[in-house]
Amino acid sequence: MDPLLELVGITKVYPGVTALDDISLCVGRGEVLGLIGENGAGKSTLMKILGGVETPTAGTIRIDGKDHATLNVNESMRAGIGFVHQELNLFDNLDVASNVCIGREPRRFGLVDRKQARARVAPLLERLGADFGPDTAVEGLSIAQQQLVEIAKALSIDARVIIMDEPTSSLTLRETERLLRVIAELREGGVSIIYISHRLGEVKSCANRVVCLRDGRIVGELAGEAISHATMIRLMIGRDLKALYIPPEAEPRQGGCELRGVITPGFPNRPVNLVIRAGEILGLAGLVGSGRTSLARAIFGIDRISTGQILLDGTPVDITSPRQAIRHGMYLVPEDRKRSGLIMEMPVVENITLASLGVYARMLLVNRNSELAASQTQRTRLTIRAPGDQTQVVTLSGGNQQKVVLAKWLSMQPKVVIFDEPTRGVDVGAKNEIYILMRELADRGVAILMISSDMEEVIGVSDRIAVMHEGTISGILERPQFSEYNVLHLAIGQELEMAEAQ
Amino acid sequence: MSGMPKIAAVPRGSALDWLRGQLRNVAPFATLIVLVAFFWASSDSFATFGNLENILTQISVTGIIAVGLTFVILCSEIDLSVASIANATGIVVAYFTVQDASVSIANIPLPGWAAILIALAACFALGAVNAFGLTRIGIPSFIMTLAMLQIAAGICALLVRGQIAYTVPPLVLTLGSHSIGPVPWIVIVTALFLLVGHVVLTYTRFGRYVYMTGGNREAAEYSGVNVRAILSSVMIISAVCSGVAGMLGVAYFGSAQQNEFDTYLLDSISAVVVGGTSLFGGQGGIGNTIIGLFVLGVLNNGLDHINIDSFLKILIRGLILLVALVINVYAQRMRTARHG
Repeated sequence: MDPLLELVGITKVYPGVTALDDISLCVGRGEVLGLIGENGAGKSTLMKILGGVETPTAGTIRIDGKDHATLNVNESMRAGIGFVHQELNLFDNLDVASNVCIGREPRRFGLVDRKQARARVAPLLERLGADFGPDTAVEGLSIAQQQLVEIAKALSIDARVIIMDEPTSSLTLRETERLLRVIAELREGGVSIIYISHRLGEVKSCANRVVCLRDGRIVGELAGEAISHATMIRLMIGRDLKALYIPPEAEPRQGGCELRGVITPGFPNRPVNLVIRAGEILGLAGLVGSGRTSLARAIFGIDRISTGQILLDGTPVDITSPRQAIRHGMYLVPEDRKRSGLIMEMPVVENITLASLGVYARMLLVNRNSELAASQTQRTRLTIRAPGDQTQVVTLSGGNQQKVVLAKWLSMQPKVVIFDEPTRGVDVGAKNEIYILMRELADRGVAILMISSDMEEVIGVSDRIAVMHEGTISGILERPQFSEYNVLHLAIGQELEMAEAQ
Repeated sequence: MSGMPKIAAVPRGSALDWLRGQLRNVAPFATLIVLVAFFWASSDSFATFGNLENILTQISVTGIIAVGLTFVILCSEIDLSVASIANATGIVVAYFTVQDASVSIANIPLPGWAAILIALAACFALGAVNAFGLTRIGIPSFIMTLAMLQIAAGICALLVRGQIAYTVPPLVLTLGSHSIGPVPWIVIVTALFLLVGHVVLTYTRFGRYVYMTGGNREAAEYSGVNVRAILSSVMIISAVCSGVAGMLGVAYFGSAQQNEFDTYLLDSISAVVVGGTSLFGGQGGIGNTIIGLFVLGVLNNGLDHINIDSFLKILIRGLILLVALVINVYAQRMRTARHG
């Protein structure tokens, strides 16, 4: 098979982090290449380089034997690379033909020639077996149909390589099957596809070859018959995990938070049953898009739950807003602290006292002195490295910012604390301090739910691990069962047939 | 962005850096000083005690409106209906007062206190409609208050039907057009509004929540702040401030008629923005608004004291506002650049 697209020694270095390290791979004509790897393995960065969004630090992209050191978006398109993203990039307010031809509208006397646009798009839709025409409004289409529009868009630029990034994450089973059929037909027609997915079953059924990334490196390749669940999982794991575990002082005690048949808006028909015991750190693992953040948002009252019950210490609580959650002592340390955790331009002290301002207020007026005292206490307790209480949060490092978010909740009476990616963007030293704080909280009897995509963190810090898959809990692991293999197994939705003890 | 451990040591800002961070506060103040110096030098009649009183009186109506508007802009919302609501409230208070026999408005005379209460209720209600549209229906404040601008103007038109009313309740008349010693009551009322506004914004929980809502609405909500209630309150505060300004304004002008407040919309927004309160919310305050009021007041007044084409005045005011907007946006950009 002659290579259509070849990457030679692609390296991408961000300040302090090597995202991709000497990646070489090739895609042949009419080949489906599966690309797998854990969250953060470097798949997205690689695809951004192919799409011309990011420039590689080193390496060559060879298309049809022609070398490119870098690509920009237009060059990438002209070279015949098409994308079907996880998040669809369609204009809801336009019809299918306009979406497919966007930016390259056929013109007649300087005006858009709609007739020609339709004539150009209709055969593409036919080829994909679409059950809608070029005049259909996009807003009326299902996600699967919109995906076909994206594929038609890629074909309309004569794409010879179509990159599909988690294309089935919001499709039903039947729609997925149809997409896989479309992929097979495209392959017959000589179009190459790079298929990125966490769903190993799909990868197995459509890929000729599978490449696995881990920590920015290619760690293995499988072809033909050798592609199986077990072999793929084995490729995805396989590094030594550092010991981070701090054992609890006591057994988990009575109480905590219980979810009974909770259904979040993102995943209808996928009830979640879960108990977070008081005094334990429950890790919540799962692949991106498995519903972990939706669950956190639902517990904290940002999104309303459709059905089901949340019980706190055995009593059902009705939580319809973050305010109510906070009143019940349920707090969230959000994933994106800049967007939803902190008011960046405000001083440390105001950020710490924001949620509990009533405590520092006498009558209507805020007592500045007691506020400052609280801020000082928290700064010492959490070793927040800031020049003073009046320092703007924006000037602090990631770790210290995260501690300010924690300080906000710790000055109150927490019962349940949800940490969503607690150490993202936090340096190593501060990471450990945050783990110690979490353990202290747990030992005080707080129920802790820690959402994390960092395998090391999930396995190293949790007392138990719940794994999510497509909106529901696919299994719960006790410490003796902890292993990357087991977590991944559950994360891709497989039964835990053999509990691998460590 | 995230992912990068930042250098642990906090960079110590040089004097220049500090100045840059304070651009929002320093620039308006510098503008004020330059303007005062300029007019002082070019006119003998400008720097007199009598003229200071003039300036203070001239900015009073704008000042009361600007207090409420500061709350709104701190929340990164806008209220375009302030002048209209002021006008409507002024007309309502006159509508319920006995008018001279020569005035042919079919009005309903009531005791003074009742007229004032009805007028206050009216502006409160108009503000509540703004609040409802913004927080419950989800109409952007820009559009919602644009509609309210028209609605309030409509109320004015219906009540006076092209006529002019002159009489207002005695209390309103005193506060609007009388003086205590050398100091006009309207200046005292404005100072009081500014003071209370400042205290509320700086020292109360509500004030803190206003800044937080403007600084980062999502983070405020996730910290348990009732963002809807805060937004509703600021819209109502803005409308009530406008209403009070409208009543006193009618007394100050000596008449209540349609469209007499039209210039106050631009003036009050200018005062807040020229003063340096961020259009993006969360930064600024009453202190800034006071400086902004003085910049506008000195400019308007000073241009009358020097020999200048009176038609050029309008253009100059526009240019000053433009410069203020540039500084406002630029100051914001320098701040966000530090998020890096």
